[in-house]
Amino acid sequence: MEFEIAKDVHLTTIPTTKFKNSKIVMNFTFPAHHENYAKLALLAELLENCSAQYDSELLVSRQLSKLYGASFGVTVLRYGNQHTLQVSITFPNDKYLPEGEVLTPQILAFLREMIENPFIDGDHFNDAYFEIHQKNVLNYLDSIADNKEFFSTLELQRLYYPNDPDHGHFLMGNKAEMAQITAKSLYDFYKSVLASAKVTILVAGDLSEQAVIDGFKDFDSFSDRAQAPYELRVIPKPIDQVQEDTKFIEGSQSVLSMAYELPIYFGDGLYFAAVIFNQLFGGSSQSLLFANVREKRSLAYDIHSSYNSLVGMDSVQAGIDYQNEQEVISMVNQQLEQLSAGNFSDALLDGVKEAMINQHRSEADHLGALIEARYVQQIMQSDLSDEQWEAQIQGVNRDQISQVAKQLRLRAIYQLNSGGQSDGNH
Amino acid sequence: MEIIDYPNYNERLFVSKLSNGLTVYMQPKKGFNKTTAVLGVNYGSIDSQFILNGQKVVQPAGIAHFLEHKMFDKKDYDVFELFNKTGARSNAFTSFTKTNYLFSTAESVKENLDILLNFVQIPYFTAAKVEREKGIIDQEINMYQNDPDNQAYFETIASLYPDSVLANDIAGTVQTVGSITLADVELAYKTFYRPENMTLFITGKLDPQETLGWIEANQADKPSPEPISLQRLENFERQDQPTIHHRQMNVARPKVTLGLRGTDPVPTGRAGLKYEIALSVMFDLFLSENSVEYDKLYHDEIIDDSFSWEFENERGFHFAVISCDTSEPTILIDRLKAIIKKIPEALPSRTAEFQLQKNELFGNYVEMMDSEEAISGQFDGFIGEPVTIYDEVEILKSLTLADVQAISSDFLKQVVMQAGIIQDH
Repeated sequence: MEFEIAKDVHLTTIPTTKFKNSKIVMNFTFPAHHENYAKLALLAELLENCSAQYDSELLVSRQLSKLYGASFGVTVLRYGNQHTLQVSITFPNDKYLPEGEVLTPQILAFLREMIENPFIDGDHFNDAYFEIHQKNVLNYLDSIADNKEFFSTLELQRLYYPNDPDHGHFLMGNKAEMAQITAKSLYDFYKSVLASAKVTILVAGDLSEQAVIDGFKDFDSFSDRAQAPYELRVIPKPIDQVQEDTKFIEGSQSVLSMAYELPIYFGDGLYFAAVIFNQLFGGSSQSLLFANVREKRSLAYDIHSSYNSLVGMDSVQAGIDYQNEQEVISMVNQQLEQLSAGNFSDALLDGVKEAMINQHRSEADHLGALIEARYVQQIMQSDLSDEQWEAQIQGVNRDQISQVAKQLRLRAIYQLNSGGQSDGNH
Repeated sequence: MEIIDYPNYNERLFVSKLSNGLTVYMQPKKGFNKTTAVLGVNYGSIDSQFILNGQKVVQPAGIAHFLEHKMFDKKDYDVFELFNKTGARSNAFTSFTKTNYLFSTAESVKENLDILLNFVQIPYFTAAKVEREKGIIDQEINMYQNDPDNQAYFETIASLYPDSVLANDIAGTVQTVGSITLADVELAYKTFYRPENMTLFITGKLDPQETLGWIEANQADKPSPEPISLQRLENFERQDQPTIHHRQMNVARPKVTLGLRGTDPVPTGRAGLKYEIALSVMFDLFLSENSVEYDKLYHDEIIDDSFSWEFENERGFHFAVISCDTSEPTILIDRLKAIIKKIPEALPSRTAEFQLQKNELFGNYVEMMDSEEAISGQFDGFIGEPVTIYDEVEILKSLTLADVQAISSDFLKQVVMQAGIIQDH
């Protein structure tokens, strides 16, 4: 069911008795601008850990234990050009709790407290609270380098969008931006987010619709708001040449990352063909990259590709020996040529379609996936039924795959090079 | 077929031991579309040394993980191709004590069960194929060695159990993997991949009677292996004096670990699960975000959100590893040791905190009941009696603070600790 709490404050309920838990997801959204990235990331941290009533991390944690270990989180996301603060909570259904326990109103009161009553002193976040979390986020930003695959993914994104920080920057901003935020400036930002962000709430599970509506109607901040429509898809600016960068590290393995422009977006005519193309390229254990680079040539243990249909990009990542970089790059391009030429078996294509449909049906078994799928449909204004979705997948043919493959243009290569530290191959 | 009822959660477990020794567990989930099956072998990285028919065998470290890889590689096809035809997702992983092969699918369950049972029970090994796998596994080992958090964890375990099979990474090293031969692989397979040493756990959309029929038909034409006499060598004799182990690696901030090796005997079956849950509650009471000790460390800026701990209780050993990134490595180690030291004395007064922790863990179990991955992942069919998450939650409900006191006292009295610091030049 759909409800409007206020203008641009929207509630969707997905009633189901299949699960023993229920889940609420709240999305606060606005167009993505890099000046806000660090701010929203720090705000997520501050909204998650304390409030005026629960004015220490310990009290929030203990309140969640009282609510039967409800899983609560505040995080930042980006859907194409949409910047998103996401609040979510999962909690057990009353019938599994001690007699007489009614959890939903308590969960909604908790959400309201965390979102609407932050831990402030006058016109700014509590200083000690602010400082410790700002420091922790700065430390986290530093520690990303310890995770070489993730670090490479962020560097690849930076290369892919030269002079375009709205898209090239990491979603949590950088250290300089993070360090500049003050307890006062963040509180002002918080107020503007609450007053102007578009709010989309999704609730799935076995709970009283009326209790949910009543709970959200109690939110003081949910007044009417109006957000001008904006383009969700990210269209990258043209570039003259492939962007390349290498960083030398001490380590046992190099990480090779490559990004291709693929100007096919969610909802486009070739969208389903692009999804299947990616599965054939490097998105599955039957893909050409997996079968040839890993299984045939033993050049990598992990090699995979991923397609982002809101930004029109397909990227490849592999953990390899540094001496093999050129060989792997040329093998990746060869697999792409094979797909352009339509050189793959019917059995492989049919299998990939089967797997997509199989996974699509399996998603209905996860509360979180159910909510996410509905949300993406809402923001993309798509109303494809499951049957239509499956028919679209079934309808993809070899020629369309080939058309997709021909549209890929290499745009960025990033190499984290362990230069000589590796033990080498057999 | 035996049926175990869990009326509080409206769930049931169906158990059947087949004539060849394979035990089948089925836990249907009403309304679910997907079926998940896990074929577990009671064989992991620590089983590289054993006595077979009176003769001691020592195999290269990493052999169990190597065998897991090899099972997918058949004469003229890869097993992934078969699962791809049905659209199922498949995977496998090796731990210290187990090798698990699994699939999940929203259709063709019978076909996928046949694929799973056949590929694990009908091996195809050749010397050339054994050689070829080594390159991929080297890359896998290099990937783990590139990850400082992974290194911190496994080096702590190695310092707790020096000179033992636990001191090796699960995948072995490039050198030990390099020395694996066709004969090693064949011997390991014959010794451990036996129906009586395996369990099949299935959850999700399924009809128990029909599913069992499929499995019985599949097993009917599998040959029964020759009886063997096997003695596992879980040899963890050496214990070193507690110290701090230093390692240089390129990291943003020092990574600290504190390992705790339990030397008290742990019961099996349900009592073993109770032991595990009690110790988890003990750690929660002193090291989770709900504890004043955590709160103090956090506000003194000794720890941050990178702090975590985990407790492992497996065949023949049990340990905990606490880890965190910190700018104050030695202070953190000292403070953690001081907290652990005062647990026996502080525990009896934590009655309110204990109730709160039970409340939280109870909710965590209910959350897991919606996940086929959690239901199958939590299940261990090799501890003498089937214990599902629905049993675990009942064990939790009846747990008292006195239980936690008694169990933690046994654990802490004889615990051996080793600390580790990974830092930059």
